[in-house]
Amino acid sequence: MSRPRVYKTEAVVLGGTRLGEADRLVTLYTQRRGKVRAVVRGALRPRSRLGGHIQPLTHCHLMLAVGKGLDVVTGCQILNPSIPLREDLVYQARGFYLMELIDNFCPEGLENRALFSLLVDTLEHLCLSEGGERVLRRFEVRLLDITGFRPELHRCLGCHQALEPVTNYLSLSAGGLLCPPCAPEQPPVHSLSVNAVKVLRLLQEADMETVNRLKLAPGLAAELEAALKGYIQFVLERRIKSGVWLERLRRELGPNGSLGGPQNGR
Amino acid sequence: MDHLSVPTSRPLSRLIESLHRMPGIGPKLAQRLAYYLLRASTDEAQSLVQAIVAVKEEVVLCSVCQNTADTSPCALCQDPARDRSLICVVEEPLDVLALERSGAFKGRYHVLHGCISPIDGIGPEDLKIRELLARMHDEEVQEVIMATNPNLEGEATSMYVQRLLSPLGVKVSRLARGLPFGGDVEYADEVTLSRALQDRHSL
Repeated sequence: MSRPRVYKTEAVVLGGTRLGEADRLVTLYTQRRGKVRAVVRGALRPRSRLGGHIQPLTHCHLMLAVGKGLDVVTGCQILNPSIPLREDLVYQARGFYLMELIDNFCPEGLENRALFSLLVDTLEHLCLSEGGERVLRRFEVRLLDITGFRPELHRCLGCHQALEPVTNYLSLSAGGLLCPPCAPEQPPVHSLSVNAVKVLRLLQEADMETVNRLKLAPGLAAELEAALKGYIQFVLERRIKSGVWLERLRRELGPNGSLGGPQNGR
Repeated sequence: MDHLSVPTSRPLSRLIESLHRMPGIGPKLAQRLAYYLLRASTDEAQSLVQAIVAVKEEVVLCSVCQNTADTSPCALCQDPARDRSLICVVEEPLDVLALERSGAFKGRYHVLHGCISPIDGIGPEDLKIRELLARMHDEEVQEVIMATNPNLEGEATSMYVQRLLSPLGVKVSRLARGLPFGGDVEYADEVTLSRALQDRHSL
């Protein structure tokens, strides 16, 4: 049977670049075909019927025509425009981080419905939730799980004994925790407090409602963020650039939302 | 030499390769342009060469607005008829041309030469934001109009600049976003429609 020339799928727009005079080359994470690159013809023209729909962070229903090289977007209906993620600098930075993670973890053309559901669910909660950082931590943990990099958090990967409730060590190369006696043998490691391990275990299993109820002390949140970012960087063998931007914004934004710094002041 | 070096002449291959490096020019177009130039008169080819060299040697960045110009400050910045209290911030020099064609803006410009794009690792320090802040100290600016592109990166840039300028007591506004003239409400996306409703004005 020949492959259909047109197909419909739900998708989240991850990003895009200009192509030629007025076209746009977009990266999509689709429900049916995983990551797909496609062309939106005339997207940069002001009167384009598709340009406004195919913007990053948008969850939409798409119709695509199979092209010789790249597929072509022929129709689009928005399911979630993620408006709150566009109107606030920090919310938007979280959105950028989410998109970059998916783009880096997923090869083209590999369907993964669990990951698509996770992405849609996370986008929705990033728009609603006050605890955006907790939502991102859950996303990171679940992403590692779904893509086959789930860290072992219950047994020591050195001696295979159940872990004691003491400070243990996350080994990046071993892919999980090591007990204190085994840790020095397998660097590089991140020390993880008892509470951090408990929260990570919870994030591996918890649904979004539980995560929304979670209260994390600033120190514990920073510890979790550092451990997960280090682990992800080790897995991808590169830094997530939007993560740097997000950190910078959090550092620079004052309590009233304005940016301070040495260059400011009139 | 690669697949582009099919032509038997080495200078021709070199020209095709040079043209192919330019944005938006694929191998076929590069070949067509090279063969066009081969057939063109020597005067035409010389004129093109001189134009390219002149662009490299004579075009400078205006020290005030950072736009490309023949002189620094540029003609727009030196024009006494333009409103010095208004600055329109754009991403690229081509945006200045588009706004000038509209004839609707009588203030002065500031070109950022890009926009914040975290995924590409482009941050505020890669843009001409420091120069914009310096203008707030040196000039009597009352309002800054953000005319960055209405996409995620353009919005990020606008919001970042707005947060930098607001504590200085400068009014920061941005171009209205809504339905294009000649467009169809039926085909407008949800974000454009909701913003068109937000930014509606009485008739």
